[in-house]
Amino acid sequence: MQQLKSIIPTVVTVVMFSLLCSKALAMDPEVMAKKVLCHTCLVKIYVAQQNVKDATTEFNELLKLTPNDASVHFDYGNFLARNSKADLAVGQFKLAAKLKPNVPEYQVGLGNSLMYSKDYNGAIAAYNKACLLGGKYQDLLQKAQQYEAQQKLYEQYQAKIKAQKESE
Amino acid sequence: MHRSYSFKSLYSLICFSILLFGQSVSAIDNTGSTGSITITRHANEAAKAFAAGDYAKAKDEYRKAIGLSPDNLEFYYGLYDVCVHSGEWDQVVYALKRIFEIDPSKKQPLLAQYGEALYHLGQYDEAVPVLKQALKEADLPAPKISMVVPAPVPDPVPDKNAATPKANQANNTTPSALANLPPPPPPRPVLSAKEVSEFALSFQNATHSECILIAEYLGYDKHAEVHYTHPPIANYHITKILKGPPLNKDLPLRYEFTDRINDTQAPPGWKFGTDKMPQKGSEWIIFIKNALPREGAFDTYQGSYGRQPATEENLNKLYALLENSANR
Repeated sequence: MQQLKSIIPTVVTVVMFSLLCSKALAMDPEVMAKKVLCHTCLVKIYVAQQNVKDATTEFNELLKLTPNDASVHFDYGNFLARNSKADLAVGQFKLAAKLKPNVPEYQVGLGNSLMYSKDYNGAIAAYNKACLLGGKYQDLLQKAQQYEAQQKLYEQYQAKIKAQKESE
Repeated sequence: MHRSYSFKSLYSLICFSILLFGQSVSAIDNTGSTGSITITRHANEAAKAFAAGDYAKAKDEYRKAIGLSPDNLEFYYGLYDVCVHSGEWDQVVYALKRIFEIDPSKKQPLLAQYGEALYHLGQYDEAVPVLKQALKEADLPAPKISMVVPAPVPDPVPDKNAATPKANQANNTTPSALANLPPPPPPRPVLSAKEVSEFALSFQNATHSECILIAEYLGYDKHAEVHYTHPPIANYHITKILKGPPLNKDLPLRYEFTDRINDTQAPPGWKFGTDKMPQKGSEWIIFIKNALPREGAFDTYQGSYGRQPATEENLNKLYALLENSANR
């Protein structure tokens, strides 16, 4: 009990100090808005100029400022997918879909990037969600189902060959 | 007794009219911060149009206000906000550039907006360094600037009930208090039609145009049919802009043959020919009331009066007037 009493002032001080620090570090909303505006414009310029390196840097800067902006994650995901980085794009689309689960386009983005990564089951789930949210993406869903079926057949065929080789 | 009563009533009547007159003058002459009724009216019309979502009208009104008061930052802020909403980024860049010219201290806090406008115009090479500079300076302390169109001021509506308490107030005012009231202004003289036309057709009035420039006559559009009331489109080349926005050097003007006051009807036997047009290569002072083209051409101030030969005498007169208006 005595020990607990001696700890309390220290805990209070630490809590107060961290509160003060977080206030001091919080950015002025106007400065924040200005920085977001600048980075957004720079991102769009570099994307238009197909300057992948600078666009990636600017996307990362923008995401540092707005980590909870689903549209930025979605745009970054599209940018990565267009530049043959589907694996990295999946992460961004997942974040966008997590932050705004009711946007069918985000689910489609996720589905497309999963198709490129050959995760057809995941793609079917994402397209399904997009259709349930009211989007007309049945053709994409059908295609993913066909790919998935094809993949299963291929796996069965591979297993059969393997079994034959073993029996021989 | 009867005489003193009528004197009192007359006295009250005079005081009442003084109060009412003062009231009506202050209601009409609501000059706002601009010091001019016309300019305030344009600014207010712009704010109303903006609130109604009519961005084209709001822009026109701000341009008119800017033409009359080219150094008023408020109007450029308004023009900026309107054009951001309408997506007219060239106008946004123009508004911001003028703001920076008038008050260079505004450049630092508005760099991001300038970069954004350049980006939208597709001027990437210019936009990138501006945006990077804005990012560098974003953390520096900067004054807060409200770049939004202010709420419109409602028009003064005459209140029928308002006269009654005022009248009572006037009647109840003691003579000693009334003695401190300023005397009513003398009635304004009524101008004759000739005096009105003389004032309208004067350099003094023409210098209030939004745009004044010196231009060289190049020729006119010969494809269109020309009448006295259907003037040709004349082509000029701007050699110097004395007042107003930076227009394109190639200036199409509606070449009116009337000054809209004296010679509104075609003179008997009037027929269009090249003799009605100026000599090619001649220099002219052009007054443009609103620096916005209408159907592909600009209208000059009071039709034919808005084109004056660029003689030394005319130029001296104009420069003196412009200098006076700048010093005011």
